Amino acid sequence: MIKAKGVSVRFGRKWVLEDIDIQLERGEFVVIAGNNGAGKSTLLRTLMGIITPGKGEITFESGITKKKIGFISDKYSLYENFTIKQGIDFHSRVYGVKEFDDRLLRHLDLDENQKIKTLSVGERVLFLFSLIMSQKPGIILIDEILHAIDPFLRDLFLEYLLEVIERYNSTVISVNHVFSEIETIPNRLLIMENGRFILNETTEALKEKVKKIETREEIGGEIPILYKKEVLDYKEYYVYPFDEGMRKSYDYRYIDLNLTEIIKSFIGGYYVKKRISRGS
Amino acid sequence: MCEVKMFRLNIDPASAVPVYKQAVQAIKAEILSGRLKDGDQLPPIRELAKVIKLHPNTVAKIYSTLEEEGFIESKLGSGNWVKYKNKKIDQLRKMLIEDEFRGFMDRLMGLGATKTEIKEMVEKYLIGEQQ
Repeated sequence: MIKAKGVSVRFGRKWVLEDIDIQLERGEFVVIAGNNGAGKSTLLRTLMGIITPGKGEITFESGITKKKIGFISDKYSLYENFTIKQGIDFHSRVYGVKEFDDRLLRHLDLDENQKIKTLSVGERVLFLFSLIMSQKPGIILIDEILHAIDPFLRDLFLEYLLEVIERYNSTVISVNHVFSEIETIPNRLLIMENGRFILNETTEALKEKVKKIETREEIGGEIPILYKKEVLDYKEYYVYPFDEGMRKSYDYRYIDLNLTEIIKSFIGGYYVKKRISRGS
Repeated sequence: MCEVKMFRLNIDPASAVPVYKQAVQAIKAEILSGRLKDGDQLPPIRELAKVIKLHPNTVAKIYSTLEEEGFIESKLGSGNWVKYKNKKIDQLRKMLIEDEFRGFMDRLMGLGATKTEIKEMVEKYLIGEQQ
């Protein structure tokens, strides 16, 4: 279990995280989405303990120590000047790893005397995940790496990630912009805007609550519209929160959406609000 | 020693039907089609999760739902097997056909077909089949 209560982080004068409250249970797979600059990466770094919040507190269930939390990012470099072997030895000592799990690295056919800084982004991500896998992680934090690695390594990474989740019932918190491969994995979606959460829902509930209508008409009335997009001579309306009763009151075809489209409609809504508040 | 049967599941990521329900439905269809037979062993949760890229908890839910509904049997620590009664299969066959039929009707109605048109077409089709 991870619990953040009233967590706020300030960079200079600006609060980049404001009053964040969440509670995530063991085994959850959570995706955090939001526009660029919403505070997603800052939140991950705060959960990891790299950033200390100015206000609020973060607590973990007993047994989850720093050694049981893994953090993967393509911007996060570790042991750059070490060789692979030195990196593994050092990490194992610091994190008390008894047996290093080298199965992933065997797929890559790397030389253990190669310096870590010579690895490609994909190789580095997999190396980092090998270290984390060996820690028997209770929590895995993933910061925008899926788009940075090639499809073959991405597939390999996902397979091992799912295995680790099964083995240790790990909680995963992932910040992503690209979803196609993991569409059906997350059980919860969090959307951030200006350092706050604007949405915290299970993906099952969300798929029932977000729909799209394509029509040439203007939609008024009581259908709550999250975001509207004009395509050629018709319009796409993203409806949230949708309820089944609307089918009877307003006779449209309500189209189901995948997670990527749902996220896009929330972020699209953000940019519309921003334009309106600027008055343009 | 029986071998573990692997299978493919088509999951529609956009559908509002929860992923585990879609998978349960797909596995039932595999059983009905005979591709999964009584006594076949199913892959362990970890392996199936890796192959079809689902959360292991989702796979566990798929198996436990199938077990509750009487299509598979789980033996603690040794795995999951396809195990059903023939009566169950008849029920399932009927249910899947009805589901398909309802979907088909919805699509026709969506295209603006009237009941009379559909009736005529079905009759014409069935007569054509007999010839």
